[in-house]
Parts: sequence; structure tokens; C-alpha cells
Amino acid sequence: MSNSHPRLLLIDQEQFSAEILLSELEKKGFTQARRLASPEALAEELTMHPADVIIFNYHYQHPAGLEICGEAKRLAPEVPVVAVVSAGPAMKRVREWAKETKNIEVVVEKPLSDERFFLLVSDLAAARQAARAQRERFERLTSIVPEDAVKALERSLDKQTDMFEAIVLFTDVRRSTTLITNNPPETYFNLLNLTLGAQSRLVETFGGAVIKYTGDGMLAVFRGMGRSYLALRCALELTRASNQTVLPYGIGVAQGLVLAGFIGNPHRDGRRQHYDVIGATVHLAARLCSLAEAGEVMTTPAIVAGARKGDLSPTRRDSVALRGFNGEIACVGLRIPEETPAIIAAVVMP
Amino acid sequence: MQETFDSAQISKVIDQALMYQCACPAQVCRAIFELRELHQFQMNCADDTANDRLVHETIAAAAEQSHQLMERCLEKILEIEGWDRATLTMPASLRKKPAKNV
Repeated sequence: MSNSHPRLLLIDQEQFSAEILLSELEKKGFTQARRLASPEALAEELTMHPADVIIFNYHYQHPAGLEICGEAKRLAPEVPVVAVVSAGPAMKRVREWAKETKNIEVVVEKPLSDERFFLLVSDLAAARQAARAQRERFERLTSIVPEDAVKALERSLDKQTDMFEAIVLFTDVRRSTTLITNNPPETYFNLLNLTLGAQSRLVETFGGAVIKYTGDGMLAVFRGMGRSYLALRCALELTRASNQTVLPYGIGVAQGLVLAGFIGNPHRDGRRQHYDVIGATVHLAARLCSLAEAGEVMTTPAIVAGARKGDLSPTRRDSVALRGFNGEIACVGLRIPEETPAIIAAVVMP
Repeated sequence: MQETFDSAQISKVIDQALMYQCACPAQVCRAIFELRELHQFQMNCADDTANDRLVHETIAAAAEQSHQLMERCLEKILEIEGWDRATLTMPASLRKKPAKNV
């Protein structure tokens, strides 16, 4: 068999036929075949021993036994069910039920007179294992690729670039050069990952999307209704002293149009591509971030007004010149008021 | 068509002959089911002409004869192999035989 150790679950109400099937499966190399102890144990069995294929041995005298295939499909919809059924009326009954409920993928006729049944099980298990591996790979990839990038990939090729109104939030660790010099690389990376992980959780809590980590910082965007409030609320939460204990960082928040899409041509040159947001708003947010002190948000008065956060007292007022913008841009520094209750637990020191 | 064995009895024989060397009774059972299906199928056909009727009568007669023959065959082989005729349970000695074709 080409696949490695397929996991099979046998559902058979008769002890003698279950023993035969398990024995034959083992002879054919299916060493990880298990029999379901009782219908009540199905959920636990599928949780503790996820199967690649479910084999259901149907007995004419137990017509109600079919219902367990429905239960198996409900618990593990992606696992194929192969029913082994005797010729004649039983076959007709099971085929009709399978067609109606879609709870059985393949119906095989008893007696099993050649290798076809085992080849079928082997093929189904291989397909299931491949699908599972692909799914796991996808999940690993989605943990390192921005959520927006995954959505963009799912769109058609001509719609993988986008321009939209957004709030851009930047963070950047302060005095990182000194921290890198004074700490072993592994320690610094651990501290950095702890900090960035906590920042990402907060961004997610407030409905934002992390686009990328920028070395010692992070770039996130907030879209849709209430984005000003959510982004500013998130930024203020990031300034909280308890969120600044591991590696102190500054935050910059700007609003405006951003361009989003894949940078790089996967068919030429370095054959690399990554999802990013670009544009003047991104530059402004980065510039505001560079002005912010540790535990401080630098943003624009327009965002503060849009977020209905006029009650906040700015720590300072400033202005910044930026290429592409007329004149200087007014900006304000903010910190979270001490009495504001925390949204999520602070970063815990390792 | 007269039936000595009902569907439940024949299915029980097949269910027990999952992949034993003695799957031959199960193959006889399959033949019986197929003959019943053939007989039922031709019964559902329309007799629009005299020719049609003759065709169906010929098939029905052959199916009935063959069915009777195969049922007698099943009866006999179950007796030879020592099956419990009342419960149609396969003898323990046959259950221990290794699989042949699979």
C-alpha cells in the first residue's frame, strides 16, 4: 500500500464477522483497524482515534444499524464510509438509504470475493490522508499568512488587489538595538514573540487584521464600520503598562486609503510573493509610530474625533511633515487612562 | 413464484459468508436473489403484443424453474455442510477455515 498506516474504524454488530474482517484487514497490511465497541462509544472513538475510513458491515437482520452511519457522518463528515452489504434486498435498501441521506460513500457487495474491497479501502484512506495533510498544511500557512491574504487568494486572480478605506496601526519596539545587544539572540526572540503575540491577540480582539510583522513591530489594519473606534481602543489598550512590560513599544495610527495585494511576481525573478498594504496612509502610520514613545500612541485628531474619544487628554500635540501630504500633519499623543478596565490579560513574563 | 427461503434467511447466509472459504452457499444465495429480480422485472413489463406475452412467459417459466433448482441446491448444500437449518447458523468448523479468494 502506498499510504502509511491508514486508520480504519469497523462498525459491525456481529462479533464473528467483525473478527473475520479485522483479521483479513490485518493480513492486508491494515494494522491500525479498530472495531467500535458499542454505538454509544462512537463520539469518543472518533475523537480519541480519528479514522481515515469507516467500514460498516451491514446485517440484514439489523436494519436500524444504518443509523449509526448517519451519526458517524455527523461527527466526522470528512471521513468516507464504506458499507459492506449482502446482495439482494439488503443491497437495494442500503443503496436507497445512502442515496437519500448521503451518509455512505461506497456500497460493496458481500461476499467479498477478491482484492477490490481492500484496494478500495486503501485508495479511500490514501485520499483522506492526503486531504488531511493538505488541510494541516493550509492551517499552518494561515497562521503565518495574513488573514486578508488568504481571503485575497480565494478571490479570482483579477481581483487579488484592492483599495479601501482603513485605519493602519503600526507598533515598534523602543531601544531594540540596545535590547538585542544586551540579550542572547534566543532570549530576545522569545521576548519579541511574546510581545508580538500579545499585540496580535489584541488586534484580533478589536476586529483588526495583522498584515505582517516588521522585525520589531507589527502592521495591522482595521476595516469596516467603527474602525476608528476599534483601532484607537486597540491602540490605547496596547499602551497599557501591563502590555508594555516585556518589550516596551510605541504605536502609530493613521487613516485613509490603502492599497492591498500581492507584491512580487511568482512566475519571474525570485518567484516570491507576499501580501502587503501600501500607500501614503501606511507611511503616515509608520511615521507616527516612529514619533511615539514607549507606551504611547501617536495618531491624528481626525481619528480621535472619529472614534468619539474627545474625552481623552492628549499627552502632547505635535505635527509631522510627510512627502505626498500638503503641509504638516497635526498629531496627538495618547495613553490609556489608568482607570480603564483591561480587555484581555496582560503579557506574562516567561 | 414460490419461495422456500425468504429474503431474511438468504441474507443471513450471505452475511455469515463474508469471506470464508465456504462463500459458495452465499454465491448460490446471490443467484437466487438475481433470479427473483429477473422474475420481478419481467412481471413489470407491458404485454402489448402476443409476441411480448410469449417472451415474458418464457422468461418467467425459466426463472421459476431455475429459482426452484437453486433453492433446492441451497437446501442441499446447507445440509451437507451442517448448517443449523432452523437458525441458519454457519457451523463452527466452517468459520475456522481460512479465506481463499481474498
